[in-house]
Amino acid sequence: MGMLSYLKKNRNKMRLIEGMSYRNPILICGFALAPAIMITTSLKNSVAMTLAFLVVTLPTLVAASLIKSRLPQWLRTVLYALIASVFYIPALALVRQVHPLGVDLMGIYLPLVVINSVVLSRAERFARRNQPQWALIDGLCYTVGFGFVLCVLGVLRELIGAGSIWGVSLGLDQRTPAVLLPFAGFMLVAFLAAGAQFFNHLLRKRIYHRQSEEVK
Amino acid sequence: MSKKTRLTAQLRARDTSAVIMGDMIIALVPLCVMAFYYYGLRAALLTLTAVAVSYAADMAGYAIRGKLPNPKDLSSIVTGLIVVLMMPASVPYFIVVLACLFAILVMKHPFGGLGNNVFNPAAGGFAFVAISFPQSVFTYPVPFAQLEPFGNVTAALVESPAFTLKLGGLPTYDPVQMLLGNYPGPMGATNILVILTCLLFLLYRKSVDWRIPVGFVGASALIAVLFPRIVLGAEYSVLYELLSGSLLFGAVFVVTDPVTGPKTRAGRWLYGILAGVATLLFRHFGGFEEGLCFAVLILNSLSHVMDRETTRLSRYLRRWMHGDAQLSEEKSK
Amino acid sequence: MDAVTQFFLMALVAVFTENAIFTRALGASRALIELRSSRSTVLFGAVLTAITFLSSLLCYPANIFLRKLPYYLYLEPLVFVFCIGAVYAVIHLLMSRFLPKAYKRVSKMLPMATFNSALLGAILVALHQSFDLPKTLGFGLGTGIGFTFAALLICEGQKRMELSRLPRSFRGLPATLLFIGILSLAFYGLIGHQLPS
Repeated sequence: MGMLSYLKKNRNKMRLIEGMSYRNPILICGFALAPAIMITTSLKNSVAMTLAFLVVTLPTLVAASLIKSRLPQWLRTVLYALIASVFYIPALALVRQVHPLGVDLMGIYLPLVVINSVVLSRAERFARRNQPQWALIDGLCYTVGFGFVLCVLGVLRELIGAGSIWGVSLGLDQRTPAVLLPFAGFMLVAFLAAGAQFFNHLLRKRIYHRQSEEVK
Repeated sequence: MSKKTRLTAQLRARDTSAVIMGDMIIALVPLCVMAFYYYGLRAALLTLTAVAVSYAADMAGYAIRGKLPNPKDLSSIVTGLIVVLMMPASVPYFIVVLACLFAILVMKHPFGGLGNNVFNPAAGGFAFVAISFPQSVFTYPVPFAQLEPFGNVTAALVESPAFTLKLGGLPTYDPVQMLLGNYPGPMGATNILVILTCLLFLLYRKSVDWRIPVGFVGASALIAVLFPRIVLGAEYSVLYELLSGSLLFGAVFVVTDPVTGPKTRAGRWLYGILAGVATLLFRHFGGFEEGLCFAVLILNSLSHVMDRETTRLSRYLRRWMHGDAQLSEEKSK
Repeated sequence: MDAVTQFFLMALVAVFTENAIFTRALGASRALIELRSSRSTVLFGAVLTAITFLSSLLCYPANIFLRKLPYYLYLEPLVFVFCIGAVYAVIHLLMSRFLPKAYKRVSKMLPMATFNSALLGAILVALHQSFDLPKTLGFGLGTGIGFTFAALLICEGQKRMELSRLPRSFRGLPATLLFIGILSLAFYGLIGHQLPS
């Protein structure tokens, strides 16, 4: 298949978009699990959180790529967190526009987006050593991966738990409100993570299996 | 690593064979019969649904994992029976289906299936539906009430003695009737005499280790004596605590699961005692009237720790008791 | 004496009924899942507890000033991260200068333990619910201790699951998350209702 051999040839280029393909921040890396588990009780929450994540993470990564390695490591980490907190101000304003009730519904998890593991990890590992445009693309891909998982969880949990989507009730008779509790979040993320790992294994097997066929 | 394989042999329960499962099913059948006697056709149909769904889910689980389904594997039937016997006869069908699916597909197969599961599937399945639908799972029909075989039940539902105890009241049921099972409660957990007989059968067949039920019931009784919820006195407290809810049923069928419990003798004593203490703790301070399943889940995560630490402790004790003579002998060898 | 009682009571609540990991998913991160030995888990937990306690000490007066400002919701993370960063910087400098051996063991986990959702989350929970100083400190301490207990439990669980024949898709992160989820289910049986966040 042309697609798989393309993927194999351009392995290094695929690393740029790893955040939204094979290295999902929540499902494979295990970053930012707290919001994914606790606030995905409705699709509106998920979308609002993704927007906040976007506004906080991208500028911070660009700033990290501009700061480079000029400061000692411990100071760098604090600086990344501080920069992220500064960009929280527009993020909160955006969330207030899109989902005003969300600020209360998401409680402490909205401010917690400031020290999310994605921004601190990618800033230190990738953005610091690369040019701003690549840091931006990398951050964007990770945000897309994050947002995708959050929205899938949001849709599932809102549908099963409250019988609605985006706050619009679908008139479903049977609801399981327990799906909105934290333990269900853990289990759903666990199953999604298993699915992501399964998909990764499959992809790798197909790509390398193909390679051995071509060699023969 | 040799250490790893040694521990593996110790932890993988080799005795989850067809014999133990067969014995468990034989022990559970009288409870199903009694449930049918007290609650009629609905109880029998619920039991059949649970068994069928559990078995099908188990086979599906094998297939999803890419393994060949083993039709002789009866462990899922035992799980289904335990789950359904802890529920009231008035429970809607979909709740039983949900509990069995959860027990098999979430608690059992993701961890590797038979012999590999960390948590007791039946306890997990029941805990899930107890949290999701507490009104349906904790209200019971009166024995000999006419229950519709299909669909939802319209008969009047009452609370069980466990709920009365949680409120701080005194259950008004005659202890003799409670022993016979003639009071509202979980389908299989009310028939105390039958449960005790099944326990004796399982002990005789050596399918359960006596240390776990004895430790469990002993510890529960002790806590009930020391911290009674009834003002009348210690004997009444012990009586009603032990006879209410699914405590004795759990002592025989849930806590004694060989896969999820410890494998060493001292570990099993510790597990039984801690399970008793934890169950009463959940009953006193927890959010629901019956805390057995939640307590079992927490202790399951510590089973191998209990094994490891009791072995280590007994080794230290032996060394300390037999003094340095043996140590110097070992050193000179 | 009332303050001391409140302190210990709040710590107890934070350890059991409002456990950071099992009831609020705070601190469930890569760092948790990669801890492999009990010793490093306890060390991580100790560092987390110490920094949480010290940060709560700084954040409480900062919060009092913050509440007087009109846009306090917007500035809240900035102020708290600043306090936590200050504690982190001070600890970093003091340890690297005066306790080099201890610093060597701790330096790798110091950033993960400081910029951890459990830490900031504990402070946010305490101050959003307007706890007074003893309660805030107690809650911070209890969160750290509760996190350590939970992390130990999860570490033991991972060791147990290494010996099972897990399906290949579930090895690693998924099985650990499912493990935490089932324990969270059991802990919910203790609480019986949803906690304020």
